Amino acid sequence: MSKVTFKITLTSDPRLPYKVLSVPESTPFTAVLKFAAEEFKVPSATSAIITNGELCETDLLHNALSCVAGNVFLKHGSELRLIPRDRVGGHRD
Amino acid sequence: MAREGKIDWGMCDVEEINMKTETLLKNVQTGLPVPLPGPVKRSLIKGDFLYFYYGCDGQDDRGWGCGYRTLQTMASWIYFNCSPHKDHNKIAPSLPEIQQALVSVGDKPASFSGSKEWIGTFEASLVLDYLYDVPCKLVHVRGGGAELEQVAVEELHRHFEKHGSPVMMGGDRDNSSKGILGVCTGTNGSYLLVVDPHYFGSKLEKTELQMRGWVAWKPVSSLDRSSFYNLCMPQTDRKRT
Repeated sequence: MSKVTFKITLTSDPRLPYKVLSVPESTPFTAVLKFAAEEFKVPSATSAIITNGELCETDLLHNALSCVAGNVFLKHGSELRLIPRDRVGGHRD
Repeated sequence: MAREGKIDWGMCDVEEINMKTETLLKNVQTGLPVPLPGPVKRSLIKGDFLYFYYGCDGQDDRGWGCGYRTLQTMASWIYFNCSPHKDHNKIAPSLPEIQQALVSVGDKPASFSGSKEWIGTFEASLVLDYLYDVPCKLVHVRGGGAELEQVAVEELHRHFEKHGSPVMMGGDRDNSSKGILGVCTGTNGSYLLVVDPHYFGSKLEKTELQMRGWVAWKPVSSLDRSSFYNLCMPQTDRKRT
């Protein structure tokens, strides 16, 4: 079975630690997120993975929720970032 | 009567929501003076949009809907400034439609529809991409203060110069959604042009909204330095007419 390799950086940590993960290309990408979050000991439910594109631009993996790892690798490459999700709803101060 | 945690949308039907939406104010920031004296670098939103806020379409979402309202403001900009999408002749999606979109893309379970759950910039990015084919750039700004001036301000200048579309800003400790319409940098720091979705009440005129601070230049130094922030920046230059 073919595997793909991602380098996932924890962007919320100023030391920018990263993990290198190799997964079968048919792995649902949601599982990659869960595994990466576990490795960094952050909650997967409140985390998201975004990409590094060209010119250091960061694009949202808008199709990643229904994607497998192999498709994500083909479209976005191997360099990914894990960020904490924000949730807003509070009142104005 | 609403079930626990669920929304009672009341007597507002779709037509009423659409009618109320069409009466919303456009470009509420026009006429605001520059916040800094002397030479400045100023980068601003380009194009029309409507100001969405708590209860503006008859649906009372106080305490939970501010992220949705900022998303609606962004959607209205796309409506006025981008190629028409075949499925959308509405200025902005309603709150139920936003929730349904998130269920449809698989980010939320079916029970999310009809709830009062908060959303953030990641969800906003998913919805804009799903409904309008507009990809978004997400920028994470770590807490501590330094990155606000160094990272966020630079990103916002680049964004408004290239795309000109409104930005959504959300955080953790700072859990109030902010619509960002511009950025201004002088020798002593930067200001963000913020449109606040937390207003609730009768429709105000533009000058009154500005006087009360619901749309205003805010110093970056006034943001919560202990909070991280995420910026959702629609990459709309790919969708311009």
